[in-house]
Amino acid sequence: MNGLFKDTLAELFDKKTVYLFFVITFLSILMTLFSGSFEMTINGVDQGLGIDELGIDVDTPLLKGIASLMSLLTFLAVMLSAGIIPNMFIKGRADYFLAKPLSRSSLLLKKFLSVWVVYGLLITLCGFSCYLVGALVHSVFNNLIFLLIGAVFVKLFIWLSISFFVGIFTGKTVSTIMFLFLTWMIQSGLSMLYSTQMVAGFGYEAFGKFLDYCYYLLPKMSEMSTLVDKVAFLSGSFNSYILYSTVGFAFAMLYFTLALFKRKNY
Amino acid sequence: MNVVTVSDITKVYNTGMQKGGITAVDCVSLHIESGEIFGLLGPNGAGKTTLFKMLLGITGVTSGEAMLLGYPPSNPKSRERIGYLPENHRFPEHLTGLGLLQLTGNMYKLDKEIIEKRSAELLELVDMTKWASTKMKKYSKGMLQRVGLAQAMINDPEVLFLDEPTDGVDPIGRAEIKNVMQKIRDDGKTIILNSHLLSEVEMVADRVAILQNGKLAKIGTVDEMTNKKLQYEIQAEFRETLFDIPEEIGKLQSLSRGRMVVELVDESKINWVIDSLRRKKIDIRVVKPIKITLEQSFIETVSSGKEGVS
Repeated sequence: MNGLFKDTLAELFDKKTVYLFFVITFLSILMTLFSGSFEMTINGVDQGLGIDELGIDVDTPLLKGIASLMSLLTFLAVMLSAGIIPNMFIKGRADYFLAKPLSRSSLLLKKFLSVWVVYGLLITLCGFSCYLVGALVHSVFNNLIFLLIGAVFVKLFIWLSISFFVGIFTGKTVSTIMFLFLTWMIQSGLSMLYSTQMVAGFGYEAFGKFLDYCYYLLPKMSEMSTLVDKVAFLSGSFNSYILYSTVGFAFAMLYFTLALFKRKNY
Repeated sequence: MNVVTVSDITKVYNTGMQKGGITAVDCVSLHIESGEIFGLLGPNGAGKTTLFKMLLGITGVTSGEAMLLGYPPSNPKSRERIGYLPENHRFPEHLTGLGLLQLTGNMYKLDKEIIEKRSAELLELVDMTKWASTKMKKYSKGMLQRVGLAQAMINDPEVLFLDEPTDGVDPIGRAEIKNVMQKIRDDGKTIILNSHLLSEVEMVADRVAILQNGKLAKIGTVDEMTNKKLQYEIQAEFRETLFDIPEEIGKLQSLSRGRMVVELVDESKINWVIDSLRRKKIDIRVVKPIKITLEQSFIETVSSGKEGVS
């Protein structure tokens, strides 16, 4: 585990795109700092009051901003990590990994955990450092930041389960990225249909049912984000089905990935 | 003791294009003993690498049975005491040479101290110490091969699988790799070698097997492979141009003034030839078996398309 963890870390920092994380975080920190120097001007006269003195609640907007930042970083992490499995099992490299005294399940699970932890910690580091700057500037701290960090790990787990499956199945980075986009698009479309009650209104009962099943089977990533918002900002009821079915989907995906990997010839 | 036992092993790749699939290895049976250097030879596509991959659990076995150090290849325990240098390897390029050895050591669950000690020793052995901290993407083919050999030995393996170990290595490097192999053999370890450079295999291997079209065409010691069928060269001053050899002894292949070549029905018959020459008061200078190179033997075997163990 230690070796694969270090390998994943080395692979991450070998990619120049990882510095995009730091650039985005740096810009976010600057924006957070800038928001602290916002001053009230009435009729062209500077009142000399900052956002905090005005009594505006900065806690929730700050958390929402951090949630958006971490969603963006999660998206980047998923794109960056899409090539990990196809690269690990290309001709000539697969032999190196598979000839070691590890079962295939163990090798893949260890790699999955390494990628999950390394990329999850990177997003956490970026998001949390930005939040800390905001918290220090505005003298606020809300424990809900930890819920957002937990949600990042859950979302990353789900995306990685899909990414690993396609990576093993096709062995190609491009296919993995395309499939991730496709999943997101289909799920968003189905979500939209479902929320606007259009599934039942197609006139074709069988097709409507098919779409209905698809909606229930596929991971509900956008709803997961809404769910986290609802919980974090106490703005609605918690629908546990969305969370459990999506996490269940990820576990099923991981199971199929292992089953496929065990049977694959290299 | 056998470290590798293979019985009627077959591998068929299902391509989806060709009905019945492609048979890469076809009913091969062989065993490899502890402490020997075993060469696996064959033309491209003969099934050498597939056989390696089946033994190492990289690819599945369609039928037959294989055992590596007492375990079937599907059991990860079979790979605990082996080292492997793959052909056309593409080690993770984001790692340094030292990083590769550390990753390999970690995957063999070695202690940190042992990994550090072995890494330093092996990098020194393959003359890569000064490049240890350089990323492998900057390495030349020969350097990759050297560091690849080092990673294959990180766990002090009992059996070392080397697939084209001297590929891309300069002549000095090849000589060094040959020395390393001999040293490993002297330590009582087994090496299973797959190489196109037959002159090198001839120099280091104890036994060789020739695969052709997935089948075992020939197996034996290097001496058996390179001895021309019971042919002897006798160097002497022949005064008589005619020299009759009875059929039950063998036959005369060629005779010139200073050299005679005879093919005998068995090795002991050389005494009859020597005695006959001595009776004729012919001074014998040299008697030696005629040898061919492993390469010649290989070409003969492959050209004749011989199938089945000889």
